[in-house]
Amino acid sequence: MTVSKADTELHGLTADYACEEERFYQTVLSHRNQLHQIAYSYLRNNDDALEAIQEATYRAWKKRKTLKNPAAFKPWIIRILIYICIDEQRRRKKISPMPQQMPEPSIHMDHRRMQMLALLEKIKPKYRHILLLRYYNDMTVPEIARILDKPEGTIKTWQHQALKQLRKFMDKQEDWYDEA
Amino acid sequence: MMKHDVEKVLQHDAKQMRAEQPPASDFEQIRAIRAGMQQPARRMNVVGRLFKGIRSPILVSVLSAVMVIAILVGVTYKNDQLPQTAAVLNEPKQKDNWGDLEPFRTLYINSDDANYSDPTYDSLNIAIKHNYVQRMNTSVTQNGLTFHLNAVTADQKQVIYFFTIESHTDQGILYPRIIRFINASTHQVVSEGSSTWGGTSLENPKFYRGIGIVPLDPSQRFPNKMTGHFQLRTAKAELLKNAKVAPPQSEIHTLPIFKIPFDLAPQFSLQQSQTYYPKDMEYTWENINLQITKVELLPLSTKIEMRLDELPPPIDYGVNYPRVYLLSEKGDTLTPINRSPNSGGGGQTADGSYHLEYEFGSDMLSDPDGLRIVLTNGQEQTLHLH
Repeated sequence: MTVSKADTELHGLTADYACEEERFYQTVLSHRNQLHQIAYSYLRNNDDALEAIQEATYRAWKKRKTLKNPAAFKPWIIRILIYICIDEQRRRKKISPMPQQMPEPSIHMDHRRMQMLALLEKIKPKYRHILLLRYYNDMTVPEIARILDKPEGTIKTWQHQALKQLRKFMDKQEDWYDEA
Repeated sequence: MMKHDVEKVLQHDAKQMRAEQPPASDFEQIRAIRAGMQQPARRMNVVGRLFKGIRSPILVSVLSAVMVIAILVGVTYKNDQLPQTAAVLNEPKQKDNWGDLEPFRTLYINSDDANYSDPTYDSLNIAIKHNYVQRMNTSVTQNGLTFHLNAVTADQKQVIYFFTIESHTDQGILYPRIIRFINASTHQVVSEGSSTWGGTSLENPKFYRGIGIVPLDPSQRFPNKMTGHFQLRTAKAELLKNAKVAPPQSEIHTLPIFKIPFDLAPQFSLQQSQTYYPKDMEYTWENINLQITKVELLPLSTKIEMRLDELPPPIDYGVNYPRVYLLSEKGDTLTPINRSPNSGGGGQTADGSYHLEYEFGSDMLSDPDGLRIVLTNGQEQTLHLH
């Protein structure tokens, strides 16, 4: 087979472009368990978590050219995912589906846990990210700083504020301590 | 209350959450990621932007994949006629005709989410040519909407269905949000979710046309009777005519589940796969030995498995996995078969080598003489099927 130089360059260029999708897919795939864990911690529903991953994959693929440093892919896609989760939480607040349309709960959640979920959703989104990533996903301050693209000092301050705000909400919840 | 108490409450709650969290299977996660890359139309439809031409980066990349196939064939066989070859390869698809299902073919022509280079296009095109499609004409009307199941085709790994939804009120139709398929005989869930693409036109948001895929588990008994559960949503048709503004969430109505029962023709379960274990299909990729170990043909898909001695060096986002193209041979005719752009996954085996799997559309129903497997580095070999 003889291939001219021009053909080779054209071939290489288009083939690389086509296979970019495949490499991108493989990379997202390699983080799938962590993405699912994070989405579930925000949404507490398997279907919604999977839908959030789907949407995050779509948005990340669409915006991939904005990612300057490929090594920062993981915090970048997690950042996209948590913003989607926050949007979904806001949407849930706005829409109260009719009872017959409510999806059947896949798990039983006790009263205390429902309260905690409601409290977490009342906290400012930037503080909510800290609590969910730190306590529900076991992330370190440097890891959270990379995801939220903020200095570690800011994350520590936000963590302090988040706990303070949560404590305030818990204090207002009259039966919180009674059931403890 | 002391600070550490709040932290303890959080840690305790997190522990309980993990304990009760249902395990998400790899299958579900992979499907979500694939769907994210394959189906931008789900959200495109929300803002009523379907049938607006080529804009999506996915579409552009998919179109480029068509060009790659065309260019590969050109480079491999007709270096001196590259542009002409590409044109000739695309031409037959422009001339394809799906008969009564032709309106569904326009979903591949006009929408942002699927096109000629989608592997399902090839599979459906061949299936329709060989009458491997079951017309259903099953309708369910409720809450001012009629869901119509037009046709299905299936093999051991998937069911592909053609559907329309029509509104009889002032409401326009949004994409189906929740889809579930139940085996009507065993009452077990066949699939939690289904990839779909399609949409309404801006001019008529009250008529939705779509194609969907239900993945099947080949290890389970073929579901001869199924019920599809669709949760549909509507919003005032006028709100969906604005291409730039999504309808406010308060205007979106979620309707009770539509249940669509249907039987699958026996021919779908009787069609056996053809599996080959080639011994001598060896290539090199990035100076690493590569061997095709298994080729499985089904009516609607082709799977190629390979063994790579070691992992290629990384580039960009990750590993530079082999880039593979497939051509079906029948007599002197070569037909390029589209590859699923997201296939190519795999993992390390016990002996340290890597096992990779690629999925393509299928030309099995045309009874091809062979399959030509081509790498983008120019190496190619043919698997003779007869």
